Amino acid sequence: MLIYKTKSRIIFEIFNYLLFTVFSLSIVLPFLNIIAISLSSNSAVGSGKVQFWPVGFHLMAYGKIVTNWGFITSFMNSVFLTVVNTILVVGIALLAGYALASKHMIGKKIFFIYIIIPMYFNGGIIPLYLLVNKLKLTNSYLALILPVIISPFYIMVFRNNIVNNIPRDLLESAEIDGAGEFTILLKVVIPLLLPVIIAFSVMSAVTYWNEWYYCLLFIRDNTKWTLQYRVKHILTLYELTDAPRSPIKMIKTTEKIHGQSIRMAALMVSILPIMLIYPFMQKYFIHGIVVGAVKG
Amino acid sequence: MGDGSLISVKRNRFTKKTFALLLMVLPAVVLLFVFNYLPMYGIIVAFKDFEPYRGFIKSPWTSMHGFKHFVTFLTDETFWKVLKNTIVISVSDIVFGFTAPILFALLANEITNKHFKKTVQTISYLPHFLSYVVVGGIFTQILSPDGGIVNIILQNVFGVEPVYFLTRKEMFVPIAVIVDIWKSTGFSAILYFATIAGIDSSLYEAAQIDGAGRLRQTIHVTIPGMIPIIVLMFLLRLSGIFVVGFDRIYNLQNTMNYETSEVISTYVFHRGVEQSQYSLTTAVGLVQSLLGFILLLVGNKISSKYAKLGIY
Repeated sequence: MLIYKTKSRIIFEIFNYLLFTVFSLSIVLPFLNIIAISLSSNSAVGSGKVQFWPVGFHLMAYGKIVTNWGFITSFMNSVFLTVVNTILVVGIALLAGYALASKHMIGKKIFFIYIIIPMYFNGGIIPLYLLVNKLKLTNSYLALILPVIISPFYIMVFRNNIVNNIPRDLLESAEIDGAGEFTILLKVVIPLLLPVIIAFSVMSAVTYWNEWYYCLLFIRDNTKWTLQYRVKHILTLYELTDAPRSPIKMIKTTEKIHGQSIRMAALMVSILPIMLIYPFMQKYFIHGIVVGAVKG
Repeated sequence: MGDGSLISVKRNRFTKKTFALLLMVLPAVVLLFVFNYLPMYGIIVAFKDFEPYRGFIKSPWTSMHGFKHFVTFLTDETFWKVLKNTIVISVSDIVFGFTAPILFALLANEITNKHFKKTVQTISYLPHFLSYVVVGGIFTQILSPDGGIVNIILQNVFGVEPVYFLTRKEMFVPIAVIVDIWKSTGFSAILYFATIAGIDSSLYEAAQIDGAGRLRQTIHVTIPGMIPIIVLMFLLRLSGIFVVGFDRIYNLQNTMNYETSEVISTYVFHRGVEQSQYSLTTAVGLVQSLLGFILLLVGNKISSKYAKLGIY
């Protein structure tokens, strides 16, 4: 079908395409720039010649970063915390959501209110900070796990999904077959909720991978830093040093590598896992926000 | 429900099943109690002179019937500066950052080339998934007066001397707003894309029969279809007017731009965590969340009233 376009429509479309091209470039070009800096020679970076293509290409900044003891430790910490926290936040929410959806549950209304209140009100950061100190969790991985693995929102979405989308008969027939609550959850509910579970898992994993705030608040011991906090540290330091324990492996700006190259290399490596999964996970990210929108 | 009496008797009985179910909510209940409800109780320190070795309960109440810290910060000039910064950034965020995704969705909806649209969406969602540490790092680099790409371009194209963007206090608010738009416009637009997709297509057909072009369809069908969700999001956003997120500000902040960049969240961190003024900053946080809560209630009231007016 031929669509007749008025002159003003054509002008609008040109303007529109131009606008979105500029917007997209404003996101892509800074990345090209920092990648180029991370790959350029000391003199090129120092004299401000690097734009969107490496000048005096080398991989030494990346070499420095991926062999740095502190960086590796933090990377492993973040992998560990991301996996553990994601499993826990989704697992705990599934358990609670299932229980709240079950007709055998008692005191549903009270539990409901109890779980909803923290969505709207909290004590603020200082009381939490004092509490974590009081519980002697400071400098412990537990301070990066326990406060962040409950999501009232996930619990409610799981509960609503079970109530609305899983036929009563299905759950009852499993019960008649003698299946216990955990078996029903595992064999019937989880397979049916899989799209939501994956969406929440992916969203959570990104959040935990990006975690640095609780690390700033609670962790002094740099062997327990998360990767993003390490990157924050590397970005703000003027001299780049490794942990005091291994002074031999100090990251130093050498004649060939500019400090800025090392900083940008650290930044790029820290977002690499997100960049790698992003193309495949995009639909789950969107699914997650649509679920959220319907609920909210 | 029409359940037989037998079932309702069963429902109320405490069985092995009930025990299993209670066990299932237990982790959530315990963790919420410790990390959400106890800190709510911890707000009590706002009315006390908190002494770490004495704890929440045994620390003594303050003078002025417990309101000493509230009087202290309300008469502190720094606090009012911080509050002003918070509101200035927040209002700028609403004017620009809140409207950007709406415009983004409306305009992207007019893109006829599917591949182009998909590419734009994929690129624009990406920054949402990066932490503000990374985003702050990227912007600090590209805005650097010392080899930052923005200054290189300005110098090559306009011959301007390097601008010290992040150390000039009058530039902080625009930069913070742009960073927010850069990071979240694309992703926030998803909600509006979904809203537009949900508009009844027969409305567009009717408008076409009436001779409406694309522009008139947008004005008379698309935008009215989006209004309820826009109003809802706006009221939610408004209730957060005293809140400017910690991450964005902290990662763009430096000693040179403090005067315009210090907002309540960073102030609470600097005074509370770094300078151990726990009671004072808890009082600040309490006032902040109470104001937010009141705004949320008011907003909710307006929204339900509006929704009634709008639909019927």
